[in-house]
Amino acid sequence: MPAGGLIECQGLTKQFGSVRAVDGLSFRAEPGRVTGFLGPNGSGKTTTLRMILGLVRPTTGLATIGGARYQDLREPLRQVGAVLDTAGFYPPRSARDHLAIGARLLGMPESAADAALAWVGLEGQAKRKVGGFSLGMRQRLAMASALLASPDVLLLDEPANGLDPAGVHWLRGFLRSFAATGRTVLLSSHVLAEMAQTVDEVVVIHRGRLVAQAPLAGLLAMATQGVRVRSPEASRLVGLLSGAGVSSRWITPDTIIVESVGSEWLGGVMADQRIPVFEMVAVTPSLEEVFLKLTGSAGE
Amino acid sequence: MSSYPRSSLALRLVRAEMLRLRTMRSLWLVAAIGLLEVVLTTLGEVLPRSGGGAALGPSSVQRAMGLPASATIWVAIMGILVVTVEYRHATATGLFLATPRRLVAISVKAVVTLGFAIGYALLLIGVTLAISVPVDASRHEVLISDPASALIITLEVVVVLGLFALIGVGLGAAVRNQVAAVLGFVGWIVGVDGVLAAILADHGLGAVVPYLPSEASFGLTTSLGSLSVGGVHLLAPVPAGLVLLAYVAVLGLIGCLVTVGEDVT
Repeated sequence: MPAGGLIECQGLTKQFGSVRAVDGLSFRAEPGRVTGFLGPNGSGKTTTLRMILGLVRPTTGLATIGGARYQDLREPLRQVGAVLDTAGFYPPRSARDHLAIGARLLGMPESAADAALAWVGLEGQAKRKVGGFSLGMRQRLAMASALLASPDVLLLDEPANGLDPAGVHWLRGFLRSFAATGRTVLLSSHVLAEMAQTVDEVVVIHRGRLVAQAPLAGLLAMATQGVRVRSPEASRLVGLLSGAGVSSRWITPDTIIVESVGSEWLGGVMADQRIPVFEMVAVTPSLEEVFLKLTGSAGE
Repeated sequence: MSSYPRSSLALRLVRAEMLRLRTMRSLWLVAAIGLLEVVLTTLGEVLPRSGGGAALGPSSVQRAMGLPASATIWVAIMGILVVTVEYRHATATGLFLATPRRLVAISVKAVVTLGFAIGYALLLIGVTLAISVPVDASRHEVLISDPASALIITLEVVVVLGLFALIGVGLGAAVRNQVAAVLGFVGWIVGVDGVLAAILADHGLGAVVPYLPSEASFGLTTSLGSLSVGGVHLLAPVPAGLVLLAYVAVLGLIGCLVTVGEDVT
């Protein structure tokens, strides 16, 4: 694994006037993993990404990539690819010229721009002005620009915005394969269902502060809500559980959710009592539910 | 990683900036307006008038060569646009991701814009020659009576346009807002500068007037004939050039401080 890909934030704080956008934030995004960066609107995600990339100066704290601040990297474009906002294109400039500027900066032949356009499926739009591009096309162009030099680290802010289902599918597959080669992905998105299928690790922030950092599977397991059981003798089971001090709630006339127990224990009880089981499933919340619970932002 | 040969970082930055400028529509639009102005001014000066006779004297070609000096306002706007377009279209993010040492990024812009302005100045002089030489030749007049003066005029035009392009870059970096920077500059040159000069002259501070930007640019091009404007004696070309260079330095310093100190959000 390339050690150069570790993203590390230590006590990152940013004060804009009287507003503390980011407050003592510390987390790591490891090489070989896709790290999801989650938070409600205005929670400080974009400010944090911009601090990591040296575009916003932290009030206190330090953000490093491979142990160095972004602005101290020798060849930043070769080491880090970033997609921050799709508005960052000069509208009258063609897609090819946008990438050709990047190619020149990297000392690459301009034919690299054509290859990158083909790679994101925009080869037919090379001479078209970016001002006429849809949001999804701009996202693809931004991705092409970020990946022009095949960097070790990717920082992406809402990269799935505007992508069609095929584009989202392609992006998910690409990020998984990118991380599988030992490289680092830090990904911010509001599309939590999509994030749940893409990320290995989750960093959740709220009001500029770290709320949680954990592997996705661990985070979901910690928030497991109970076991859903469908049985023709559900009423008898509820009575037994109540007697044992285990709470449950009805979902349908023959289905209940038993809270705060594991399926192994519950299965044993039902077997002992010869209660027939039609269905028994551990109820795991969605990433969205976990996120809303962690940030308390359901109503925001 | 790639296997192609890499050029030096400075060369790569310059080549990338040249492509940025080449593909900047607003830059070429302003350049075209400046060119049109110089063409029309030259035609107006060179072509025979309805009353007969040429507008200029025997050294009309030489004098026509100085007309592009009036394009200072256009090259300054070009300099402003080169920087402010990055903020207006949020491409500053990409610019500073590629070149996180922001002073380097702005310096490269200044160098490439200076080169562009020099080329533009030479183009404008070439256009005035292309218009005035055939007219004077048809009158069998002496085309260039004093080659040394012609060379000096060329140099003065190149220097004044180059310095105003740099003033534009510095102003653009300092203000960042494209509309405010362009309107502010045009407002200064078209109105404030003249009003300020008049106020200073009325209050016994006429000695300061030659140091104002417009008057300094006139001083830099005194080889074109004017030694005074509105009764104020202009600076000689070299001191006037140094005054303009001081404006470049001050605006460049402010622009650098803003560029380095401000967040890119």
